[in-house]
This record gives sequence, structure tokens and C-alpha cells, in this order.
Amino acid sequence: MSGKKSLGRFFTENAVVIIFLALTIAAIPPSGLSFQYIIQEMITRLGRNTFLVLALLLPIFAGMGLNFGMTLGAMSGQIGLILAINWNIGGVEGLLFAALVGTPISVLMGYICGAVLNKAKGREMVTGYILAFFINGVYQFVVLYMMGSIFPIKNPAIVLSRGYGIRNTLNLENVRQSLDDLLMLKVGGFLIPVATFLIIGLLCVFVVWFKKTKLGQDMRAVGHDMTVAEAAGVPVDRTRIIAIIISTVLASFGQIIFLQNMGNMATYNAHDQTSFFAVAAILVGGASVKKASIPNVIIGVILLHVLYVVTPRAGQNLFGSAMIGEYFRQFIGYGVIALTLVLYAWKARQGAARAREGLRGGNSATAAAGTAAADTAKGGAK
Amino acid sequence: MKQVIDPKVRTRRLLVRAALIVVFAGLVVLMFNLGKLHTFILDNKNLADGSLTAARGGNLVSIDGREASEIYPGERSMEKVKGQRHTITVTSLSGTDKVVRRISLDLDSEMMLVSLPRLIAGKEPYMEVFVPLNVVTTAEERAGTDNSFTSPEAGGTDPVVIPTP
Repeated sequence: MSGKKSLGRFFTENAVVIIFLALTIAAIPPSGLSFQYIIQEMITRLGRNTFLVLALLLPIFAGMGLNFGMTLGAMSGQIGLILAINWNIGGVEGLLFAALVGTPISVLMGYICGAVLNKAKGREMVTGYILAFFINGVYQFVVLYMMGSIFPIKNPAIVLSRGYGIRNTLNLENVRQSLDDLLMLKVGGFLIPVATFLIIGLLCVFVVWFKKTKLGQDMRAVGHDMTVAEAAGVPVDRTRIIAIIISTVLASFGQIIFLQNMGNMATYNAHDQTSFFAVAAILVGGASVKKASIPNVIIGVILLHVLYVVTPRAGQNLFGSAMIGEYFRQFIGYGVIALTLVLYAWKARQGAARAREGLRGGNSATAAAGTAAADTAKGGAK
Repeated sequence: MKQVIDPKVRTRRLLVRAALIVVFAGLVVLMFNLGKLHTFILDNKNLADGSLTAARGGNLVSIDGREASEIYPGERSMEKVKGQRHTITVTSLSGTDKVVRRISLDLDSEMMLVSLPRLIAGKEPYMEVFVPLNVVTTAEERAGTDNSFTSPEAGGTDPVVIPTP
């Protein structure tokens, strides 16, 4: 009986990962793609996306949920890249230049986002999502109207023919894959962008180290219970703002790494779905609104992107249309976010119900487990 | 209650912050200088006044020790370089003559036309600023030419030629 219960609990807690794994494994054979191809794609996509997804970790530690406001950081990185292309700065130096230009902008954006989220405690995710739409409007205004008119743009190749505003698509030829190609190794027939992975590794080390610092501990305390943290002397609002600032700056760097790998930039919508895909990836990896770790990021990026690679081909082979696979990708992305949020809310309710049951005279173990689950859920909702 | 900060600490804090800003600005300038791209158009044509002609057999031109490209009389070749100091090595295809020139560029010189006959003969100026006549853009950008509230995607399909200043 207890074995059945623990198995059931395991399935409940890992429902998203298990469903995703099953879907992925089921989609591989009909896709007809070789393992060699899928593994190479995974290596490329891990390098391209992992940094962006890692940017989500700190706000989760601070109990602010999934930072949909990371789009603000992505926009800052894009402004850095536009300026690098404008001044014709190429190679790794061009990427570093873009990162340096993007840093103060993303710090400012992160501060604004953090301050707004502090006014909307308990509704951080939806507030971040809507804030991203608002700042997107500001970004469009700056890039479409102010660049070339107020901010001088000297490269005619990136300016709209009317004389101001940046073109829809920018060719990032000067910085294309410059980080990936910096140290490309061929191991067993697979090309591995070592420099990109080193940077991702450094960020992982930073995250592990940061959790052990005073600020990191403060963030975890705030994430666990804001009231207790405040009473213990932790500056809650300031800590939350710092978490969002670091996340936004990391998102800015992540977007630059992402775009250098892609080689071109859709000026007005490259950032649109950045947060959406990053959030989907971390949730697929088994993270929740309250809890996330580096393995969740790695597993999530791999699982989500294996599915992204195989579904169009599987759709083509099974139904005669690759578009089915494309729709399926979209459906999976949104579906996984919805499923995780629903499961999270359901678990919170179950925990609260168990706690109530315990207080009414059920056994103390049930009550303790229920209280713990309810506490976890409450903390996440804060 | 407002926290009182020791003036010494405040000064030290200010100094550290100022130093960080200087380092940040220095890094931006450094990246700008190191990563600035320039384009060389290597021109192996006879001079218009007929005073110098391109080497008959053609030349091998290498910039900064990179793989050399073959440029025959009447041809042009384009090379992108990073940074402001470069070495151009021109070797005749027969292998008899070799000329090495070290050049430094201004930060704002985007595209430079290098005349190989002049460079080989050591006749100044062998390098001049090259300004492209026009830039061809696709009409997808055209919707923005008026001030109406339309998306830049809403353009036609034919190319538009705009003059550059």
C-alpha cells in the first residue's frame, strides 16, 4: 500500500517530466531522424539556450516565481547588438561590446521590473508578463522611431529606407557564431562549442556559489517566507529587486549568446517569446514555481528541444504535414506551462486539505505533511 | 531612522564606484577598438593615367598572415579585417617579388580601396576611402516612408534604391 502511495506520489511530483519524456520517446521513431543528428542538434541547442534558462533561477530562489520579465533583459541585449552592428564591431569583441552596452540598460530595466513586482507581491508572474508587453512598446518606440532620428545610426544597411528606425531583420554576420567558433572541438563526430559551454559552466558555478553567500541565503529566506525574513532583518524588497536585476542582466547576456548562434535578429519580435520558451524549458525539466535547480535547466532544455526537433518530422511522416508538428510544438509549449501551474495549484489545495484534516483529528504525520505542502504552496504564491 | 555613514567609508565607496565606472568605460572603448571591422578592397587594376600597370602574372595577397588570395590583373577582392593595424603582403605569382606594407587605419574608415600597383611601386597614396554609390534595400522597409501608423512588414515587393550621403 505504502509502495503504491509512494509510486503515486512520484508520478504526481514528476508528472510534467514523465509526460514529456513519454511524448518525446514516442515521437522519435516516426520522425525517422538519426540519433547522430538528434544529438548534434541537442549539443547546438544546449549551447544556444541554456544560459537564458539559467537566468530564471535566482527569482525562483527569491520566491518570485518564473520571471516572465526576463524579456526586458533580452531587449537590452538586442540594443547592444544593434549598436555593435551599427558601429561595425565584430567577433567576440562585438559580443562583449553588446554585453557591456546591454548591461546598464538591463540593470535599469531590472530595477524597474523589481520595483513594480514589489508592488504586486503574490502576482509576480502575470505582472512580469504584462510589464514585458509594456516595455516592448517602449523598445519599439526607441528602435523604430528614435534610432536614426535622435540616436544617430551611421550604418545605412540597418536603417529603414525612410532614414530612421531599424530594419525588421538584422544580419548578424559580423558576430555570427563567433563565440561558438572560438573553441570548436570535434569529438566522436560531434561538433562541440566548448567556449559557449565554458561560459554556461561558469554561470552554473556562479549560481552554486551565489546560493552560499549572504545575499543568496537572504534570497532563499525571502523565498521561503517573506514575513519571517523581514522579521529576521532581511531587507525583503531590496533582495527581491537584486534577484530580478541579476536575472535581467543574465537574460541580456543569454539573448546575445542565443542570437550569435542564430546569426540574424528579428529586431521587433526576437525577444517576444524568449521568456515563454525559457519558462517552458525549466518547467519541462521538473522545476516548479517555487523550486528549481541547475539539473532542471539542463534536463528541460534537452527534453524540450528534442521534442522541437522531432515533432515537425514526425508530423510530416505521420500526417503528411510538417505544420502539424509545428502546431504541436506550440501546443506543447503553452500546455506544459498550463499543466505545471495547474498541478502546482492542485498540490497546494491537496496540502491545505491534508493540513485541515490533520487538525480535525487525523494522524499527526498527515497533518505535518499537509502543513509542509501547504506552506510550500503558500510560499510560492507569495 | 536614517543610517549615518562614516565619511571615510563614504569616500572609499565613492572612489570604488568611480573606479568601476572608469573600468567599465575603458572596457567599452577597448572592445570598440579591438573589434572594429574594416573592409579592404584590393584593386589590381591599371591606373587610369597609365603610369602604373598591374603585374602581368597576378599577385598573391595576404593580410595579417592569413591565407593568401590570388588576384589577377583587372580583378578586385574584398577582405574584412579587425582592428586598426595591419600588414599587407603582396607576392607575385611567379614568386620573384615580395612587398610587405604595414598600415594603420583611422577608427572611422569603414571601407578602404587599396591599389595594388601603387602599393607594389611604393607610390603614395595607395589607399583611399571607398564610398559605395548606393545601397539597395528591399521594399519590405518601404511602408515606413510616410508617417502613418503602419507596421514595417506591410510593404510591397520591388526593390528601392536610396542614395547614401
